[in-house]
Amino acid sequence: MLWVDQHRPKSLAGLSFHGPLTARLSAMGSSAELPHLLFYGPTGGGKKTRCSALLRAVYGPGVDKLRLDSRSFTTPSKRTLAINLIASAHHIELTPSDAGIYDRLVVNEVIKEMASHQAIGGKRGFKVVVLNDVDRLSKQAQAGLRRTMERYTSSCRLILLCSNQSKVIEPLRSRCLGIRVPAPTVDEISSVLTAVGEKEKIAVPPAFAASLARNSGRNLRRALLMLEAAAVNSAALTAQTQVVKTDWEQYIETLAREITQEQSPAKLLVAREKLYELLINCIPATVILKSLAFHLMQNIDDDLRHEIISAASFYERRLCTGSKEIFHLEAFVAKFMSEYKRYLTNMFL
Amino acid sequence: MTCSQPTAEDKANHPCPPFKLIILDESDTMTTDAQAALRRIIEAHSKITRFVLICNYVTRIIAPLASRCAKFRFKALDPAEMKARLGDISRGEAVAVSEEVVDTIIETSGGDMRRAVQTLQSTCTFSAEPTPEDVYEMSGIVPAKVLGPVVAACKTGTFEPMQAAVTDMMVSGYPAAEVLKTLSALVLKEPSLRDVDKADVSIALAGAGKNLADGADEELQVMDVAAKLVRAFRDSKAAQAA
Repeated sequence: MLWVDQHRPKSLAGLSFHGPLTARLSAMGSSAELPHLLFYGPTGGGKKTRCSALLRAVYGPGVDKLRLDSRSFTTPSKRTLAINLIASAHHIELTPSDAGIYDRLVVNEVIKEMASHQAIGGKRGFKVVVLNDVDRLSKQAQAGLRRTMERYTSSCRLILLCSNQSKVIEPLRSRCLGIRVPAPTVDEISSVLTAVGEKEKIAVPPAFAASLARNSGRNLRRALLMLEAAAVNSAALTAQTQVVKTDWEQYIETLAREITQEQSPAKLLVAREKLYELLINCIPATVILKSLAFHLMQNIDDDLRHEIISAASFYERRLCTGSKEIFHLEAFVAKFMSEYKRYLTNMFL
Repeated sequence: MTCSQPTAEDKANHPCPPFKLIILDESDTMTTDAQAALRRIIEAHSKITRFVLICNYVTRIIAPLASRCAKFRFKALDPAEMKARLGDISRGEAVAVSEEVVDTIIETSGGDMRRAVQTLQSTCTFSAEPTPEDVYEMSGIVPAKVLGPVVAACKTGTFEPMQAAVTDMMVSGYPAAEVLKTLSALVLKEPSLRDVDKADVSIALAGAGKNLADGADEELQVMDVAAKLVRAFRDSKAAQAA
């Protein structure tokens, strides 16, 4: 079992940071009512952990008895699609965006089904539906959710999890109590890494822990995975141990270096191949564009940086509204090349 | 009074008007076709039926329909009135809320009573002694001090400190749309910026708001606006020196 899962705190008392938030969640867990909730914050900040700890505080250890269900739904056009759900006697958890364009159907069916049965064996009169990645739900599904939410509010509570709150429609946001889960600070991550190291009987030097925390972008899950990878790779961890970056990050770094070295149509073709390579390995286009932009901005002049950030935000938006990702990634690379070349020529004029 | 079976007294004091009422809520979300159809209906049945349209934006009601109605405008509530009402509610619910907290609730609600009452309820449910910070947290509004480091970094007029400050702020999970709102208020109040630079930044803010609504990445959009702010501070400083 990965350390990330093995050492995940199970109860609210076991949570190691965001003290005031934990206190608020405990108050919620012990009060008789539970509003609809919307957890938001960056990935690896502990949204999911807090959500399951809260469920445990509400229902007791019964929620830990999980089963994996595969449910099939029939669309109006007589197609069947299968969705995996994680369920206990008290709650059900699913990622509705897995269903693609049929997400509205899945959300409505599951909530209707939940609401049609009485809650059993609990002190609470309601069951909970946890929806992951609501920011990836289509607008129609979100609008559908809002009606379903109101209709079944007596027997069913929703907990929504998302990382980008601006993709959740306003009526849905105003129906939920928003709970912000910020990313832990570098110190907090370091202390968690040290604690996990102690449990695994591995000495984690403070300097190494801090460098992991910084390199993870304050993402605890990532930091823990990197710690485990480092522990597997080297016999003993020292302050000098290299933090291993993932393959795709190194790949983007190389790409960034190459396009700063030469700006030509031939190089653009090479870049296209690299971008395709990244895309077919399932790296999201937004992530590619963002990390490429940040790498490109590292070693250039301030004036150029302003151009690059506005180009990056411009093409990233087109990426979201457009349908074919490669066009916009390539356009960004071409834009960078032309801006960079113009800048260099102007310098020698 | 009871409408279905009025008493003799009711009949004397409140004679039943000779028409029925149809209330259409949120009528600004009706399509223009539906509104156009309504136009005929209102006229044809005006003898026996009166229509009451409720909407947020009167500009979204088509002119022929709006001109058929007497208009009543409701503006945002007066802070003093809101304060009195919130005081009544907190006394009725027997919760102790300090004056400071009530003021913060009114500030965050922007004249929206429902929102104010909801903030009051959730703040009091989840903390025994609410502080203004709790209110900010519950209402989902970004307090100005969160943006302090970003604005300070922008004032240096260089890119790198700004980039670091924005990255640092974004991982604290504040929704970007709210960040832009607060940033806009800060920029407008900033004394060291020239008007023309404020205008530039405001244009960037508007663009970023639209892009966010399209689902663009939060960090890139906020950073783009902050980059504009960096240049605005730099230009203003240069203009003052000249």
